[in-house]
Amino acid sequence: MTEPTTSFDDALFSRVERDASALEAIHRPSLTYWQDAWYKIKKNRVAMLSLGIIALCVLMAAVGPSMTPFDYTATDATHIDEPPGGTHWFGTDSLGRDLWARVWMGARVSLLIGFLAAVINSCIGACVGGIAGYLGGRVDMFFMRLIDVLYAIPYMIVAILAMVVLDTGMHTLVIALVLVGWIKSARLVRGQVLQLKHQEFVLAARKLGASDARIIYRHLLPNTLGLIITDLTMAVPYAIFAEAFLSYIGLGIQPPEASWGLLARYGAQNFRVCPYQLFIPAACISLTMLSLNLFGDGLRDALDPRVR
Amino acid sequence: MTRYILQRLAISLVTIWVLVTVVFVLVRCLPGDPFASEKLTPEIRANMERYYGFDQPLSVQYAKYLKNLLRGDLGMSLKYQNMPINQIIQNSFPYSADLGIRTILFATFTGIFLGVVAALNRGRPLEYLCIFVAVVGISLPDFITGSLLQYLLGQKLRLFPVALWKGFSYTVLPTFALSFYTLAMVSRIMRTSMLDVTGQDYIRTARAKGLSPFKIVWRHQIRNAILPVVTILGPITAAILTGTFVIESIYAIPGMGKFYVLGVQNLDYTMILSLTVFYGVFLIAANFVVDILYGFIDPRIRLAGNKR
Amino acid sequence: MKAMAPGNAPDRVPGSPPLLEVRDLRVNFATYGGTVQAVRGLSFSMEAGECLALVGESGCGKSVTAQSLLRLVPHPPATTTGSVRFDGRELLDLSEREMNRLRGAAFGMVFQDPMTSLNPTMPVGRQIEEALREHERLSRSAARERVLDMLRLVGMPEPERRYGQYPHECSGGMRQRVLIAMALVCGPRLIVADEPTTALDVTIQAQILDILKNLQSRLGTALLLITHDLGVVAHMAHRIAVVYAGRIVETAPVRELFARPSHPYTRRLLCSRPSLDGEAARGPLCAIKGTPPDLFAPPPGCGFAPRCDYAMALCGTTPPPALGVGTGHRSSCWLLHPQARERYGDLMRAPLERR
Repeated sequence: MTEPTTSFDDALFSRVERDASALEAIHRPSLTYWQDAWYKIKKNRVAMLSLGIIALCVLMAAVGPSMTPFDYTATDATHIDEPPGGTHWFGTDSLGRDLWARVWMGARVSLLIGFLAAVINSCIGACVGGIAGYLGGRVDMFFMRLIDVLYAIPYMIVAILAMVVLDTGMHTLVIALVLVGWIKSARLVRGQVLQLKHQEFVLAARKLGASDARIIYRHLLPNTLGLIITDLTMAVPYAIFAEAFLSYIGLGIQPPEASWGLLARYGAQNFRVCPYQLFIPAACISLTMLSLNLFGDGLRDALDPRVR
Repeated sequence: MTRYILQRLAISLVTIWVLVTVVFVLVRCLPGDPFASEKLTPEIRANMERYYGFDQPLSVQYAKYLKNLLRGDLGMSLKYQNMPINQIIQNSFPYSADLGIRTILFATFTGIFLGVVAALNRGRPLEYLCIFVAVVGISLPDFITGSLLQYLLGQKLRLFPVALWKGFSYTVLPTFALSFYTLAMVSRIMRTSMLDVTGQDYIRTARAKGLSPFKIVWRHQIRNAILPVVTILGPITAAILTGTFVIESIYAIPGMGKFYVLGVQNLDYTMILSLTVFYGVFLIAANFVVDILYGFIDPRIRLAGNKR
Repeated sequence: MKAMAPGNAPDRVPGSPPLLEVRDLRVNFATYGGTVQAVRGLSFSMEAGECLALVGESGCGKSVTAQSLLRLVPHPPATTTGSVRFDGRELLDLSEREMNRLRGAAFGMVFQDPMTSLNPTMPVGRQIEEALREHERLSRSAARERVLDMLRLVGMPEPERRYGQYPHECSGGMRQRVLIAMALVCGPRLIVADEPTTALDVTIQAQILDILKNLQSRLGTALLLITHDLGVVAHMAHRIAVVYAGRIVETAPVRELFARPSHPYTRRLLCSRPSLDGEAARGPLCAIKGTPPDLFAPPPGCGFAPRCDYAMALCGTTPPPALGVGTGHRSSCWLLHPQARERYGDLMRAPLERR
């Protein structure tokens, strides 16, 4: 029956012993979710460059105003609308205030409001969404109807209304942005938790006697964290935009304080004559938002286990 | 389907009621006195309070307010004496609606087109170009796009009129400035959802049938990928609407947004709140229409009620 | 399920090419972690009207093989080399347009998961009709009639009503019938069924297999059945090809394979399932120790060598050729080499033992 085959050295036909432990060994080093994500984001040059720009922005917000001798509120009637140059690096505005100092003071306010509002929104959203999704039943019904109603009222309109009623200022801006800003995150997290809750591994953990706290901490949180972090990264540029918008229409930060939106507003009023007064804050807002969005995109791809 | 429509309708009505009530409460909590800026004798003051109904108990005021609203009467402006807000809306809304409709059509169609182009050119330069346009779009606040376009294409290159609303060439810059963010948003969602659909099993089935690539994209991919875009049409309308505030101010278009911003700047409370009610109701109605539309496009929802 | 004894494979007219001939098929996937060699030189052939089963555990490359026959594997990330000849034509050389003329017409495909394999926004009838009208010039009403006939043929109750329904209104079994109708509607010569019953309830599985088997013998269509379920195979196939780590390790007519398994992997596989009457294995079930090889860096020799109880030095270095064991029965194992037989005797004749 056997076909003629080439013959081999007899030694090749000796039995080899199997290493029993090697059999069940995992062939490739397995990366944890976070190691894998870190590896992916590190390789994403656009995301890393964006992170660099964001870091630079934060750094300049911290040290920028003290790099120039001019105070950001000090007016100077003799140096009005001066274009960027050796003394005033970003020029001066129509009251002779130094724009370098104002832009970086504005960065402090804009970035602080952006990060603060986004963090608070995500925290509230994650808690409400997580609780509603996990408990389900009546609690979920209640929250969902509430969210349905609140979601239908546009975010910006609520923020405008709040700003009309509250005093203008940084803390009220944050309150206005938080008022309904958490809803988006809550919907997102609820959806994810609801989906996870019904998956077999959670069911298995529950049947093995894991407590609610353990299920939340060991199973739901790690699987939702990626989503929350991505959502947070995307919420920051949105909050910065909202602050800029409110300040731009005159409802946010009031002079002599500064924020990027406010600077853009006064730049826009004056920009037929001194376009740099608009261009500089506009460039700051756009570049920051661009970097945050690109970084968020990279983070989302990195944290998505389906993308390999 | 009927059940679905009734459910959405109920939520919309509750939302409108909540919005209207919140606005009523806000009017009562406004800081300061609406008549404080004017020097008034006690008699005139009492007359004015009677005229605005401030002397009656809150419950009566609330009932009257609701009754007026149901009749479509939004009250008087504080700033423009004897100017009914209905009149202002009647005069200005057509401009805003014109701009809004142009923007929504332009933004959704271009956005969908860019998203499809990007998804079909996976990994090619064309995809990166579309992604880049999209990420720039969501990073540029509309007041910046508006000002920059006005400066570059209007003032410097003189390709389009700088401001006003008197014919097609006047509409180009404002429409584009207002569209950019939405367009970018739609194209991002469309691209992601196209890529999601590309990986679905039913696309493989369609390929196994021997359908031409065009038919697969047109009949199977786009139809399914467009669903998420429809869900964001509501928020898109809201974003465009708030965008009109600044765009109309920048381009001196006599629309409602301009009055809104003027109201904010003049602290014309009745105007702000009445316009807010109008915007709110309008958007809630728009959301309702989108929900119904979605139900018709997705057979899973359309038929949910008829399932035996 | 009716016990359907598999008959003999239809005979081929001597000298004519087989319906489908796959030679040294290799499919690699480029991923950021390296290249996955999903299929590593797989060869088999099929006659018209024959039912061949590709059997193997998950991840062994059988689904990729099925899809690369219709060139449905996306390029990139995949690269396919080798030769796939259908009716004498080399499929891997055809243009995408020529390929589209064959897909759905000359060969149909039934997919694993009927839940996700149908477009949720299109009525099922139209999805079948679409396949028909792509390949034949037919009026809408004529196409509709053909589709309804097809639905009746696959045992769909109330075909007129089902025609206009959406996938989510149909049960899993109904959807799989729709997919089978879709694959058969143009009268193809070959159907590739990729785990057609895995996603279904056991009771429905039997029905679907009956339908496939019936239609296959009635319409004279060749059926390439991809499965991990040896029970399915026993009732359906004329021949079996056992796939391991991207290669075929043993092919044999069904009865022959169950009676005289001649590859250590096949033998272990048979030990790991409950026995049917007339089979060699007895005793408690056993698992195959270890895991399939990492296809990022597959072993240079026999893919099964690291898990094989009888592995020899040669097995680790050189892939074994297919050696004839009986009529139509070939196995790729160095133990069948004369020198090995001389040394160890005929190990494949030993009774299957479960440990």
